[in-house]
Amino acid sequence: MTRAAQLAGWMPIRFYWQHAEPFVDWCDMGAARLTDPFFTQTVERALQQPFSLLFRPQTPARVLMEVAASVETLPPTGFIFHLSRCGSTVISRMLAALAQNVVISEAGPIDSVLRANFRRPVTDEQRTVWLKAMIAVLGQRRAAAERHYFVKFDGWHTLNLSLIRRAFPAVPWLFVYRAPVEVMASHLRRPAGWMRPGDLHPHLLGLDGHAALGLRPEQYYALVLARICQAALQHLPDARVRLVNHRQLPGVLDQTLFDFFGVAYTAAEVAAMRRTIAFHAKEPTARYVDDSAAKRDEVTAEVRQLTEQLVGPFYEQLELVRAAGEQVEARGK
Amino acid sequence: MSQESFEQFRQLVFADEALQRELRAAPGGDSFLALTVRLGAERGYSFTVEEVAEAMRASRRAWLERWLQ
Repeated sequence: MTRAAQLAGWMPIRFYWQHAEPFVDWCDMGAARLTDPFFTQTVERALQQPFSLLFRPQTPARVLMEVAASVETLPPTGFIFHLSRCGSTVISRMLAALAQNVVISEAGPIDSVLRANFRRPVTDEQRTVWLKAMIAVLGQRRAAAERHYFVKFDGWHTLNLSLIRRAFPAVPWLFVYRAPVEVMASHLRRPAGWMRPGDLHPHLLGLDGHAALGLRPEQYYALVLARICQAALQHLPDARVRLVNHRQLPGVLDQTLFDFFGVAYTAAEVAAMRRTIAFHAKEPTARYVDDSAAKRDEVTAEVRQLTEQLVGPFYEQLELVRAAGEQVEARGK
Repeated sequence: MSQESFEQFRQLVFADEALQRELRAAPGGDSFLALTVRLGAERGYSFTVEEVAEAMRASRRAWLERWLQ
């Protein structure tokens, strides 16, 4: 049996470097469905099993390509990009409620592939090859019911949209966003890991060298959010893209959106998806409470002004493109 | 040497679905460690419970430190 055949059904959980060579860490996740808010949480649960913790093959990255070519995979049905802290996890959780949907949410190995060129001379072509293989293998068909495959990227991955679209030109995608001041409030409460100045490559942000380290946190956060909006806008308008404002959740997940992704669900399936929204998307044991007003109120006048100045114009553009798209859609009905 | 032996056994497990099933079905804790040692010994591999426990700790560390590289 070849190494690739041995790894059928195993999941890549880590893409890492060892002696300047890329490697993949594999985990036996059994039949566990990826229903946790984030991929990492499902991996953590799998690693509670002693077998899954102890018997983890580590292979050179080329084996990932061999596995991708030899196992049954689901072609991606849709991608979800977002501004962060804007309700994208509500969407991924709703989709994950159905056994027919495989939903990969902010998977670490995809993140590691996308940042592979931060500290090493890795070409876009090489990242593209790894990304296609990683997404293919994460979308292995592990249960008979699985038919559709959605990938929710992390917020900063939108800065790699050009590369991702070149790799998957036909896959429809959403860009989810929210009033920037509410997103800022969330990062000021608890910033995402990639919001730490110095984590993202400065060239992604149009900065030189260590300029990020000279900015105040709120200045840096606003700059990153502005760049993410800009990156999305560069690909708009496009028939393969739908914009979703946080305000439209959860109602926006309706037949129109399912048609956009080319999927169909029964009324009972839609009801099952809707049941997830009563709970907090990232802490599913807690009831959901809309905190938009609280977030708007808690930022200082200075942060509000900075956000409106740096991110506001891009947010307004997104709103205009969304409104225009909805008009076209309404005329088509 | 027995660490090497454990690594050889681990490679054997990756290629042997029957062994995987047996190990997956084992309860955790000491009985899992003991089963791993016994299945290895039955196939000519010599390593101790403590070495398997250390391999598990290393495996956990590699996962927890994944963002450090």
